[in-house]
Formats: sequence, structure tokens, C-alpha cells
Amino acid sequence: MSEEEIRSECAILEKSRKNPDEFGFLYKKYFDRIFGFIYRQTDDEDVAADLTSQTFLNALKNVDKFTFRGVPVSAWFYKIASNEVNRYYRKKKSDKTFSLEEDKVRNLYEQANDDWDDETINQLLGFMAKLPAEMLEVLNLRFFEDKDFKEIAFILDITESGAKMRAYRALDSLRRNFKLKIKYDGKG
Amino acid sequence: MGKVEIKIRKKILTPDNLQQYRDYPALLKKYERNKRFKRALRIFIYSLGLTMFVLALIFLGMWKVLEDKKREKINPEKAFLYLLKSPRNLSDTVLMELTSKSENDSMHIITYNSEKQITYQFPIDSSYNSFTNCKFIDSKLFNINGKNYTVIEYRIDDPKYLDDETYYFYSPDFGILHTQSMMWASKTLISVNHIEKDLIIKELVRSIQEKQNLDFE
Repeated sequence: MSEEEIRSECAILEKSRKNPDEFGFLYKKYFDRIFGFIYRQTDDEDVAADLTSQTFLNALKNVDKFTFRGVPVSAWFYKIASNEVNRYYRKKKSDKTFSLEEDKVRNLYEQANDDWDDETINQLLGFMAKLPAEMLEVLNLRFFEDKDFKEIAFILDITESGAKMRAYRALDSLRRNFKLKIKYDGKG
Repeated sequence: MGKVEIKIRKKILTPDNLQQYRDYPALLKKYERNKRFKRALRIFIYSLGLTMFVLALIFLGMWKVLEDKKREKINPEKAFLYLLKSPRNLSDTVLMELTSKSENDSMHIITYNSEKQITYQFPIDSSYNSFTNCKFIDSKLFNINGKNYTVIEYRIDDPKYLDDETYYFYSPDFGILHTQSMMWASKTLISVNHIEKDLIIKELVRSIQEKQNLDFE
């Protein structure tokens, strides 16, 4: 996303302080992505719909508090969504569920390794399930949402080096155990 | 954070799938409702705060009035007039209870209760001197602790005794502060059973006695 686009979205957000109708453009543009992000972490469409609606409602309610920090407006939406998901699990008091799209996993795996078989994928998932949720959050944002480390740091409220460290550790252990050749950028 | 469960799903979300969930007008409606609720809540909290504040003021006022009444009950204002240097050697302390103190457009009226009830009528200024045998002589302001206190000097001629003149120094705040007579014992107010008032009275009496010959005729 170019600097100009980021600025233009900030300007829309700025306008929506006075006129909430302006916010509709950002809602339409990012609804699907935020829904997908939440759905991947809840595996329930109705819950994802509620949390997505709550995410945008919170954004609209707090639009006055938004300050530009060099990241796209979407990162702010992801941050609110991430908080909503965490609140949902705190309330529900259950284990977190990540439901990954098969084609995306397959795509990621095929990029890194020629051999694809269900058993390996199951082993990979089993291994990933043992990773700390903090690491999975970084992997989710990095490889399924295509976020750069600056945005990931902003969304998860950690430092950029902290985000890189988490991604590195998760990938390093995947590489060692599954001979994957995935790099930071998700390429083999 | 607890354990994590990872699933693989075949279902892919498409914009068409999500169309049923995308509803910006509903979100706006929710937002407006939320805004109205917040505004109403804010007004309610402010009103509640204001009401509490007013009630607190009222209660404080009532409490103060009750406290004052209670204090008055415990310490009714009693004036002790002390007889000084009596020519008949009658030095003594007498308890005179101030039973009423009022003022009309011409007179200060003050009543003491001792062995018998005595009422004094002091003219407000010299223009009412002809109304009683009590004559307004002079009035002075004394500043004590930044507050001004008026002391008025009166002369009462007792028709029963020739050449008997008694000078009264009257304070609208405390009543008779001091009397001076050639025939009878001088009297000085020494206490009204109130520490702060007593200190002011003491200072006023001292000032009267000091300035009597200089300022008052």
C-alpha cells in the first residue's frame, strides 16, 4: 500500500469524525478481510459476523481517538479485531481455535516443498497446535494476512523486533521439523 | 493463553458468501443508538451529580443550623456583668442572661434576666434621643481580627438621683459591654460562654477603657 493510499484512507477516517457515512467506504473495503481474520480465529461464521460488526462499531465510536502512526488504517481495524477475539475467548473461557484454509496451507506448503500429502499436513498442524498462541498470531498475520512486521507490531502491541523474533522462532522450528524452506516473506 | 486447536477447512470465504453479513446501515443505526444512549447516560450522570451536590449543600446547611441550635442549647448566651470598683465596695460577679435582643427603626431593645428582668431601649441615633431618658452620645468602629464592631456610647440620667449619670457602651453584636457611673458600680461584660466571642469582647472592652477619655466624650 502506497504512502498516498494510506494518507487518503486516513483522510476518510478524519472526515468520518463529522460524518459517519464516510466510514462506509472503509467498512466496505475491509469488511471481508476483517471477517476472514476473525473467522480464522473462531471457526464460527455467526461469531465472526458479530465480532466483525463489533470491530467496526468500536472503530466508528473511537474514530476521534485514532492517531496516524505510519501504518494503514486497516492495521487499526486488525488491532481492534484482535482485541475483540481475545475478549471473546476470555469470556468463553475455551481454547483458541485456528481454522486455516486448506488451499492457503497447501499453497504455502507447495511453495516451500514439492511433496504434499495429508499425513505430513496433519503432522504439521499437530506441530503448529503446540506452538504458543502468540507465535501463531504472528504467523497468521504474516502468512495469511500478508502484513509486514511494522503492522504486526502495531496490531499485537509489541515491538517490531519482537514480531520478527516470534516469526523467526516459529519458522525455525517448522523448518527443522518439516524441512520447510519458508522465509520471512512466505516464499520458499 | 491456553491451548490452541488448529483445524483445516475447505470452505473459502468469498465476497458473495459474506454479502449476508455486510450491512453498513445496520451498523450506523447501532452506532446512533449507542451515541444517544451515551448522551442520555452522560446527562443522567451530570444531573445525578448536580442533585447530589445540591442535596449535600442542603444537608450541610441543615446540619449547621442544627449544630448551632444544639450549641445554643448547651451554651445559652449568658452575659456576666462584673461589678468593678464599686464606691460602696460591692464588687461582685452577677449573671445576667440575655433573653432578647432586637432592633426597630428607632431603638435597640435588649432584655436581661437576672434577679429581675431589665429591658434597655437605646436610640439608634441622636435624633431619637427625646424618646427616652437614654441619650445617644457617640458611636465608634473597632476593628478586631479584620472585622468591624460598632460600639455606641449612651448616657442614662436617672431622674431619681440628681447628678447621677451612667454611661453605657453598647454593642449591637454582644449587648452591653461596659457601664461607667460615678454613683454606682461600673460593670464590664466578661463572658458570653463562647471562647471566640469572649476574646472579641475582652478586646472591645479594653479598647473602650483605653479610648474612653480620648475618643468618647
